[in-house]
Amino acid sequence: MNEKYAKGTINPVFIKLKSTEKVSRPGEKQKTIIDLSAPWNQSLITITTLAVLICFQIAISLNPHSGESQPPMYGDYEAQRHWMEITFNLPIEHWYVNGTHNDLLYWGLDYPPLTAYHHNLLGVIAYKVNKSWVELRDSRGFESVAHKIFMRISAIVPFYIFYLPPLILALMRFKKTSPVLYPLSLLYPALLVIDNGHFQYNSVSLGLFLSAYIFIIRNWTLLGSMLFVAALNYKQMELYHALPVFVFILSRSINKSQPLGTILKIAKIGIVVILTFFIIWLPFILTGTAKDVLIRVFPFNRGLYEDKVASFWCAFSFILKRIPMVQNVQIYLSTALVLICSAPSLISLFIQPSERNFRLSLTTTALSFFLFSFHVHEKTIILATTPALLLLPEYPSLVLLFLNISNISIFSLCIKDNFPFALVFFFAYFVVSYSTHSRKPILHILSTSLGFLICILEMYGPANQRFPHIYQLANAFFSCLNFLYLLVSFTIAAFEKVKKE
Amino acid sequence: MGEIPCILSIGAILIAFKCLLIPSYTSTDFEVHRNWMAVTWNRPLKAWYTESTSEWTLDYPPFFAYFEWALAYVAHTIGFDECLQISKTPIMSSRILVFQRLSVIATDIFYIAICALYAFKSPRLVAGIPKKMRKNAQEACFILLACLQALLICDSIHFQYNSMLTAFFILSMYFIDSGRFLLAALTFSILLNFKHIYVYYALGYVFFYLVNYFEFSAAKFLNNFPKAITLAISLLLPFAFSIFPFFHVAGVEGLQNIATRLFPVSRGLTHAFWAPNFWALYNFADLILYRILSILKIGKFEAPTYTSGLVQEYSHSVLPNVNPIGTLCLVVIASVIVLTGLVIRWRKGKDPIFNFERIFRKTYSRPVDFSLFAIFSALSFFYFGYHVHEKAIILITVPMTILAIKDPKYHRHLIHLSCIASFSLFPLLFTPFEILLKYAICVAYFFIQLTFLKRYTRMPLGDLLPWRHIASWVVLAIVEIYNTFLHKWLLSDRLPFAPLMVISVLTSIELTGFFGSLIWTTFADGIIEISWQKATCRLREQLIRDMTYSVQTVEDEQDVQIVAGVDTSASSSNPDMVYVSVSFWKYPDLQHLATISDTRILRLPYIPQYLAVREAEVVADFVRSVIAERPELRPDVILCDGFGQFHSRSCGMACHVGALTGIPSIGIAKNLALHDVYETVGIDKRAKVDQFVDSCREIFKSNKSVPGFIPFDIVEPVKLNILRMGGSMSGVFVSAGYGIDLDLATTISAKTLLNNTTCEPIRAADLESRRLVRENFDGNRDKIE
Repeated sequence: MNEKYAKGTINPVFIKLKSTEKVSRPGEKQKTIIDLSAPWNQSLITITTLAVLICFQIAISLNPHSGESQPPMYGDYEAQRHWMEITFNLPIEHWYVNGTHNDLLYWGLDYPPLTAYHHNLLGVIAYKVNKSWVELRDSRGFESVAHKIFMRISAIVPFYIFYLPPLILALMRFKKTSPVLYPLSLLYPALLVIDNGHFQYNSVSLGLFLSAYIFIIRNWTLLGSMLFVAALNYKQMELYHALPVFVFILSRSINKSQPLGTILKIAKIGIVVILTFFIIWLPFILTGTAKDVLIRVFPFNRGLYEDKVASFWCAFSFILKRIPMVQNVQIYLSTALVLICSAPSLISLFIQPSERNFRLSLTTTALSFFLFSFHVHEKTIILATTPALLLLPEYPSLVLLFLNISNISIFSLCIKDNFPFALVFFFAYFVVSYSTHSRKPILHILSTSLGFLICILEMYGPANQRFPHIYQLANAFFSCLNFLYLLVSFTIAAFEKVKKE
Repeated sequence: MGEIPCILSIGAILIAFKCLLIPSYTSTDFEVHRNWMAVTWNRPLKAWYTESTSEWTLDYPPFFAYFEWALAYVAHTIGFDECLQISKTPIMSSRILVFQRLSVIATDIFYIAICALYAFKSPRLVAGIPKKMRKNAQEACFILLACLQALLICDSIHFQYNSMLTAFFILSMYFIDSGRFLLAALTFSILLNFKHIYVYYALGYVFFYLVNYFEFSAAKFLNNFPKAITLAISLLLPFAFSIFPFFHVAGVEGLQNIATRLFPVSRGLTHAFWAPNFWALYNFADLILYRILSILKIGKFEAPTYTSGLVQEYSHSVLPNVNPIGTLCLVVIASVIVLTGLVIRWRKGKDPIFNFERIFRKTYSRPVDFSLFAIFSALSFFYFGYHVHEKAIILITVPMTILAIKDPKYHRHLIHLSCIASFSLFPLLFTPFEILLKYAICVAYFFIQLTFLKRYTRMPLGDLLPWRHIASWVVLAIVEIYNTFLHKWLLSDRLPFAPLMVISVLTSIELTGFFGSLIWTTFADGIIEISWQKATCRLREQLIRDMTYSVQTVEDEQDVQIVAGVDTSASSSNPDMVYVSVSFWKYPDLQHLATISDTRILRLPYIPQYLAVREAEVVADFVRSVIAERPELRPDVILCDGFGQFHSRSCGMACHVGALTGIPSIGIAKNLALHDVYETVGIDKRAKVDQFVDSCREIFKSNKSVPGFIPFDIVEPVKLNILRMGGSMSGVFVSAGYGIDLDLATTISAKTLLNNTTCEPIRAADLESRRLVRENFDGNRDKIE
């Protein structure tokens, strides 16, 4: 009990503060206000997308691969397995050469050396796991669940090693993006269906190309060109991208004030490119089979196109067939058309070597190669869509149309592989892409829906005796028209930018 | 994203994924369902439950049989007659596979539609959620329900029709939420006639209807009779449709046939793989005892047979045997106890007399949701039931998902439960591709849950993933990986059951923990829990008063470089959800450095006089995490809105924050609630306090513009200074928190006062947290009212 209040009187004391001076107020409040609560967490979205992606990859892997139980030739799956067998068992000089053990008519190697090395490595692993998978001759047409898992995993792993990191790095360069960008670009069905369903190793070459792209735009030109040469030596189809890469590097290297420096720089790049080529081809040069490799890799003796592909030549074959003149000069005509169609975007890239122009030019050039060049597969469309994926934040409508049409264009392949349920996946991608997209371009949606209609006809349409491939041809024609429209739109887009700046 | 795009995209992705899964492995259930189709198609009604050509006899209630008949009709119409042959050996072809898989996918579309209906149209789903979060909450609810990993594994790979049945349950919940109790009862009764396992929910329904449907006030008591009759009719109607046809064609014998098929007796206490429940632990204890006793050679016991991996009756070696009636008693006792607790809580939430304190304090309380009744009922059955399948865990995860959306407090429970569910479902699939698939699906679902719960609440991820849970998942994952990849390789065929047993024992331990923590969280404002919280709080306060917490004390004003003000603002529609802000200022020239905020959920109840229980730890945690991230902002003093040592137990909120962060703290209050003061100084000095306050006013009036303070010296030592800078009649009330003395606290406070009554750092934190609450939780207040 306090003494002071013993008598019951209350007497509070007022104590004056010593320092009465007002503290100086800062005139300008610099505000650092951080709100840590955020609805989206970019890394969480990426991880979730990856988890969903791997679900889809495994689910697609369950489905039949190309040529499953279809002797005597089987399909691409058997081709890859056969290459493992050849490269594992034979010495390097016999890889590309017809011989007693290497029947080139039975899936002879027709990709450049890096593919062969890759299959050699896989062959070693396969041998370690199970000898019978790569037994010379006796393993032809080998199929088992364990082998399927091995092959499927061998196609999924390079996706994460080669393809995914540069793609994510490229997408990370866009600052403000919608949360569906990652799902839409990572879950692009055509690549998944071709690599994990049909069975190929496209993710390797595309991944090498994307890493080359990343390094080149960051001005690590030497490393970039080395990687691009590697991509080229994995699949010769990477030539589709060669022109823009060349033009971009050239245009960026030119420094008008220092002509000597420019020449030196270009020379340096040239030497690196030649050296890389040389190292990759060295074993074949030493064994003297380099020429055989070249013949295998560029098969000019094959036709203008294979199967029903959405290229200009195939889609308009019903007209072109009737013009005899075209038949004779088609090889010159196709080269000329490719060059004419890719020229505008290349010129625009040369004048203005910006990242956006680079991506646009890569897309248009690859697309014109796909449409007009010689001997095209339907699978090659992913060479054009891969750079287009990087345009997704800038030209969402065009790119979404492109991606969806490319899915439709490879559906004929899925039917051949006995994998019709791929269509549901393509359709889901279509639904997701347009329901999350803020603008809804009616014409694009209608056109894509028409494409799905054709796909359904392909599956269930009444058979036509006179034209057994009428629906495939319809699909090719439809896709080709869309691709032509996209080619024009992307070319215009490249020039719009130039005008603005 | 709007509703329709969200439903369309998720639905399309799910359907596409399920279509891609068509070639995957199917369990014997595939042949079971095919055989049922064949039986219902080829046999007359009275033979459905006696037909036994195949060993997979029809053992689901009649509605499911009708459903199989409908499927058979479709198969026949579109030319899949090969599905419809009764055969002793399984029939399988790619066409049959596609037909049956597509039938599941078709029912999945129904399930997705019902999920969408519930998520976007249920009136009570988002009633207690801040306005601006509702859209995200609805989308999260839809996505989490539609993508449920357990359903994907059980239906689209293993092969069953669980989604369709779950859809009926969700539909019933939808009717309950919209107050249409009779329809809800009807739907539930239909569901029971599809698959009798849903009787797991029955007790939950009984208790919920008792308190929600019937009326207990004397005036309206008579209303209950017509209500009871209509309820009984809606419950019995589906039974009439399901059972009567059989009674009609085969008499009582028909019913007996159904009953013997539905409730087979010769099954053991646990399934081939032990579901993660009490009996897994019981078996395990028995096994351990048996091993120990046989090593010590005490007594003679028969070797246990429950590790054989077969479905059979067995007896325990050492522990007493358990019969079905015993387990049923346990189930009923456990669920009656918990459900009665819920009912009592429900009365408390409703009755203003019970709830006086809550209304007075404006703390939120809602009547107990039906999902809790369903969870506790199903959980008791799952935990103590006889011959429980691991798949039955779906019955808990579905209402748990809904509960977690309704009340964000339960988010971490939901995530933990779905992890337990994943681990306990893994043994279902064991073929190579499906092993990869099951892991991928469960991991994907885990991250989907995290993504959408985070998007909904904006909480930091750490809040959803307590360390204890992560540790248990890591242990389970290691065992699981060992089980799948290493066990065969290391031990070849020895001890085949051991890893499975370890998984089920570990998951049952986790499920026990889950059961406990669910009860704890739900009844956190029960008497026992409140007493417990009070006791722990008092213990901590004793430690604080004894200065046991380490702190970097400040002795001199020169030491103070940075001060920080902290404050929290709660959402008006759900006071458990708060924004915590901390604002850093340079001292003494009061330059604003930074204001950092984040959301948090307060899991503990508000207890009068024990405010610290609810908030202190959350605030201190947040300050610690901010400082860990940006050590250059480490304040020398923390200013809290509230009191420090001036407190009935000399340990106010500020003391807790100071002790828990290790930074000296000051409590600065704007108002002095006389009620609190009486309690602090003793009710006998009431008159003196009143007199003191009056004289303070006088003094302030006479020294109008002189800054100064009055020590509140009714009790010695002085713990409170009434500080005033000039002009105003009232001042602010400064009391030292932890690691600082009152004089220094007063000096520092004086310099942080912007004008007379507001302490600038606290004000900044307050404004910022309110702004964020307005922006992210409740929206513009004016627009709501």
